[in-house]
Amino acid sequence: MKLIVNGQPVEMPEHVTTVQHVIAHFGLENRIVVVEVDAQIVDKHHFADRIVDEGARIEIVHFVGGG
Amino acid sequence: MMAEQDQPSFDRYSRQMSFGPIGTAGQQQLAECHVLIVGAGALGSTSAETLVRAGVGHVTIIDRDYVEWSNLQRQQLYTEENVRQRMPKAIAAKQHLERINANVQIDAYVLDARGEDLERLITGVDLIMDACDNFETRFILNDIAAKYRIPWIYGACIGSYGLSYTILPGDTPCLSCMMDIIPNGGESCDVDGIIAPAVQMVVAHQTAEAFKLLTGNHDALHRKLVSFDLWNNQYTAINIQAMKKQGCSSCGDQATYPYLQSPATEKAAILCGRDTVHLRPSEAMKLDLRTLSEQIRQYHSRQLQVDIMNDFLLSAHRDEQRIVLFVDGRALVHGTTDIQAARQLYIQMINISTVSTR
Repeated sequence: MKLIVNGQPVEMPEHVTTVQHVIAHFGLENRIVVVEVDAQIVDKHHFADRIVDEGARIEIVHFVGGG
Repeated sequence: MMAEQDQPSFDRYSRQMSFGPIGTAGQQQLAECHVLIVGAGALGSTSAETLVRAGVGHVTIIDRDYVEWSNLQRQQLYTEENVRQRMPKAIAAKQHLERINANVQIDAYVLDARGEDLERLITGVDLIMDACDNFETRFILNDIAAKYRIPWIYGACIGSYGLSYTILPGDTPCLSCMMDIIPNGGESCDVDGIIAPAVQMVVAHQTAEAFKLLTGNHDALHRKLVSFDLWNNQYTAINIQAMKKQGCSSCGDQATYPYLQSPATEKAAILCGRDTVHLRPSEAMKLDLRTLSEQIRQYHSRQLQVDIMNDFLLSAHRDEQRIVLFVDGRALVHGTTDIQAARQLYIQMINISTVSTR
């Protein structure tokens, strides 16, 4: 499946079907993240059940503390 | 006598005043504003320089650390001389900034910002710039901003990545709305590295937002959580207004400001990735470092060697460990992540100090 993540086309492995999978794919599962799918923010409690479709535009922001 | 062209003049702001949305009126507003910058590391020094050059009338800087070699690659206000003198960042920043713009009032405080310090320093502040290197301080800052209804601008970076968000109390979600718990550790620039352009990009976002707020151009505010990765060429902006929580303990109707309730206890923290322990006494002290230094040289030179002392701190070492003791009784113990070992060295120093001040 092809997704647009943070503005760039990304080919996802077959098992990726949910927002949670996308987050894990980028190694961000232990981070505090904000995710938007097709311009709609996704509540973190729904990361595991929010399905992502072919071509979805996903924005992921993860919080960091450095400065 | 200085020639007329050598006198600082309002003309220094001419290009900024020619920028329509700021203009002469905006410049006057900047001159009447007071900005508090929490942290004077990479974000803080860059932010401070931009605001002071721009003519913000009053800038207060808080920082708990001193200048080291590893800072110079990106912390643009500091020099090799500052490193050799182990100058506290807040003081070095003030000295440098006063040479850039003598018309700005710059106040500098060498301290580890906690609620009571911020409550004392917040009077008259129009805006808080986040330049922290940790989330604990950011949550305190978030509570102070909510309690006194002062906007603050979150900014953080690591590697080539950075993000920023402008928090307007009573309007946007706050930091507590965005995360239920303080993130533990996570990435630190000491482990993962950082490139200066990532710092500058975060500060570019923060200071542009600051100019908009301080000159009354609220309609121009970004209003989104922005992030970027300069190495992987990614830019993102998310509207997070939906994350605002009515029952938020920091900014909701029944706010309790939980991060301002911290008890006055001794605190020891391992600074992530730095092989350093930060120790803070339950109450601020006022140590006589000169006498302490003499006592060490005379009576304890077999265990402890004083490296350097200035008006703000004393640096000494025992074997592989180096302790930097500040006037207010805080200490950074380098060369260990063992809190007990750090505390032992700290107590040895404090005991000598107590004897010496009797």
